[in-house]
Amino acid sequence: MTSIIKTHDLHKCYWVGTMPHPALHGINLDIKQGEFAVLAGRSGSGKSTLLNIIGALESADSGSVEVFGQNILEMTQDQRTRFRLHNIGFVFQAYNLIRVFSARENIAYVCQLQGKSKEESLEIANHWLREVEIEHLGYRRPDQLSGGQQQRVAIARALASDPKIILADEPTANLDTQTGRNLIHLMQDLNQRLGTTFLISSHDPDVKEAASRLIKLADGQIVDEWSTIPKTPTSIYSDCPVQNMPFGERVQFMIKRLIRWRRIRKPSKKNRRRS
Amino acid sequence: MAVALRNLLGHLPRTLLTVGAIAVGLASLIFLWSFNEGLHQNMLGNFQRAIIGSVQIHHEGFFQQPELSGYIRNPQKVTEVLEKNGLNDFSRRLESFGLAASDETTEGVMLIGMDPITEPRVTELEKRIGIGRFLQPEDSYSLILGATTANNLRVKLGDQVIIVGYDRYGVMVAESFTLIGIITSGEMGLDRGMALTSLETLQEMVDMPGQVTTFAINIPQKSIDKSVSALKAQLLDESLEIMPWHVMFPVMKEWVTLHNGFLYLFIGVVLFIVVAGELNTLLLSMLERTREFGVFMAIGTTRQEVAALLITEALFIGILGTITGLILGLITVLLTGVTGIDLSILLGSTSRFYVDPLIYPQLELDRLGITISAILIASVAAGLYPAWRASLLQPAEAIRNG
Repeated sequence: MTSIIKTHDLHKCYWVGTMPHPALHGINLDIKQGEFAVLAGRSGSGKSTLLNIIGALESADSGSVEVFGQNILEMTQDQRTRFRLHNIGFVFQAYNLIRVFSARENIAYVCQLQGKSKEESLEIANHWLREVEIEHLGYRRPDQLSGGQQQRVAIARALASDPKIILADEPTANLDTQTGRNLIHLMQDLNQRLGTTFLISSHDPDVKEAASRLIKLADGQIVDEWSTIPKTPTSIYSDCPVQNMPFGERVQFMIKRLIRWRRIRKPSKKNRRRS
Repeated sequence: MAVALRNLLGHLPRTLLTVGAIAVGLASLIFLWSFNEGLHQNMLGNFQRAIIGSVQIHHEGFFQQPELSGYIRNPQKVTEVLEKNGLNDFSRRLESFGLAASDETTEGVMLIGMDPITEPRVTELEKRIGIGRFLQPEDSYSLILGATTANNLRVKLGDQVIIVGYDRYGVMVAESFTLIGIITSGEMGLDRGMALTSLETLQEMVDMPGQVTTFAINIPQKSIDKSVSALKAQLLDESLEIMPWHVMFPVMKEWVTLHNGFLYLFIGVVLFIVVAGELNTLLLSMLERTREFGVFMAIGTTRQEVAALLITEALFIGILGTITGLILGLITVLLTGVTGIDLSILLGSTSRFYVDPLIYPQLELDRLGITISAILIASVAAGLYPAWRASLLQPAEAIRNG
C-alpha cells in the first residue's frame, strides 16, 4: 500500500509563560492509503497535537510531515489552507458545525469553497447526507440536531470535499456508547467502501477495537503500534524499523523498547519523585 | 456575503442594537446639520434683511467713510445693469452721518434716506417697527428712530426731532422731522443710532436731488458671489465698490465658520461613538466566534476570506444603519421643517442676534452626502481591526481555545 502520511522526527513543545510543555518528541509515523488508523493514548499524550500537525492546522518545532509527498511544514498559511481544502477532511470532538447554517449548507459550504456552484454543492451535500443516513435532517440547524446527528453531518462535511484523508479528533468523546458505536460503524463502512484513509485520535475502547492499525502514544512518543491488516509475505517486515538489523541488534532494540514501555506504564521511584 | 448575512441574522439582537446606534447617530447628525443650516440661514437672512441687504454698491471708499461727497456718479447705469441681470430687488439710498436733537438732548445718528416703495424688497424694516409705522410714499420730513435713540432723546410718536447734517458742499443744514415710528428689534445695531427718512426728503434736505450713495440689493444666498462677479464685469467702473454682506461684516461669516467648527467637532464625537460602538460589537462578536473562525479556516476558508467576512458584516451593519438613520433623520427634519423648532424659551419672544425664536431646519444635500459617506466609511473602518485580528488566528489554537 502507498504511504500517504509520513512524519519524521517530529518535535513540538508548547510554552506556558517560560515553562516548556513538550507535546511531541521524535514522532516517526507512516500511514498507508486506506488505513483505519487510531492514535490512542491518555489525555496529554500528544494525539491531538499530532493530528493537528498532520492536518496542517498547527506547526511543528522540528522534523517533517509529508502528506502525499508534500512537506506541509514548509507551506505558507494560505498554501496549507488550500491543501486542507482539497486533501483533508476534519471531524472534531465538539462537531464544530457552523451554527448559522443548516446541515445541508454546512456540507455544501466546503464544496462552494472549492469553487463549485451552489446547485452542484447542494447536490453533493444531499448525496453525503444520504450516505450518513440523515437526509431527512438536511434543513435543520446544528442546534436542532442531537450530538450523534451533528457528528454525522460533520463526517459528511469532511467527506464532501472528496479528501483522501479524514482526520478525526475524539469523534465519539461527546456521544453515548451506542451512538458512538453507530458512528464508528459508519466510519468503518465509509473507509471500506470508499477507500478513504481515516486517522482517528481516541481513547474510546470501541474505536480502538475497530482500528485496522493502533498507534499508542505516551508523553509525545509512539510507544506501541500494531496492525490487523494482513501483510504479504514479501512485505511482512516492511513496517518494522528493525527489518534490516542483524539478529543481535534486533534483540537489543526489542529489550530497550520493552524497558521504555515499562517505564511509561510504571514510572520508577526516581521518576515519580521528579514528577 | 451570504455567510455574513446569516451571521448578522443569527445574532439579531446584537445586530439591531449596533444598527440602531448607527441610525440614531446618523439621524442626530442629519438633524443637527439641518438645524444648524436653518439657524444660519435664519440668522444671515435676518441680518441681511435688517438693513444692509445681500450686496451694496457704493462709490469707492464710501463704506469706510460715508460722506455725501462719495455719492454714486452714474446711478442710472447701475440701475440698468442691475435690471439687465434680473436683480430687481434693490433699493436706492442716501446715507450720511447726522445729529438728532430733541428738546432735551442730542444723539449722533446714521441718517438713511430710503425709497418707501422699493425698500421692502430688500429689507424687513417694516416688521421691526414696534411703535408707529414705516415710511409711506407721501411722507415728507417723517422720521423713524431706533428705540434706544428715541429713549435717549426722550421723544415719542408725533414729537418733533431736529436733524442736523451737512450737505454735499459741507454746509451745515438742519430740518425738523416728525417721529412716525420706533424700531424695537432687540438688535443694538438697529435700535441705537439709526434715523430713517424718505429718500426724497433727505435729497431735498442736503440738496442732492436724484443723487444716491448706496444701492442695497437682495440676492439669494447661493447666487451672491456669482452676481457680484457679473456686476463687477458689467459695470466696469473703478469708482464703484460692490460689496457682498460678508465683506462688509466679516465677523458674521466668521461666526458661522466658528459655529460650523463646533458642529464638525460634534460630528467627530458622534463618529467616534459610532466607530467605538461598532468596533466593540464586532470585536465581541469576533472573540465569541473565535472557534467558528478556527473551523472556517480548518475546512478551507483562507485568512483573507475570514477578514472579508467580518468587513462585509461591518459594511452590512453600516448600510442598514445608514438607511435607517437616513429615514429617521429625514422624517425628523421634514416634521420639524413644517412645524419649526420653538426656541422662545431660550431666546425670549423677540429675536436675539438676528435669530427668530422659530427655527426651520433645512437639509443641504451636499452635507447629507458627506455625513452618509462619513458614517459608512466609519462603519467599515470599525470592521478592519476585528477583521485583521481574525485573519491572524491559528486554526488549531482558535478551535482549542475559542
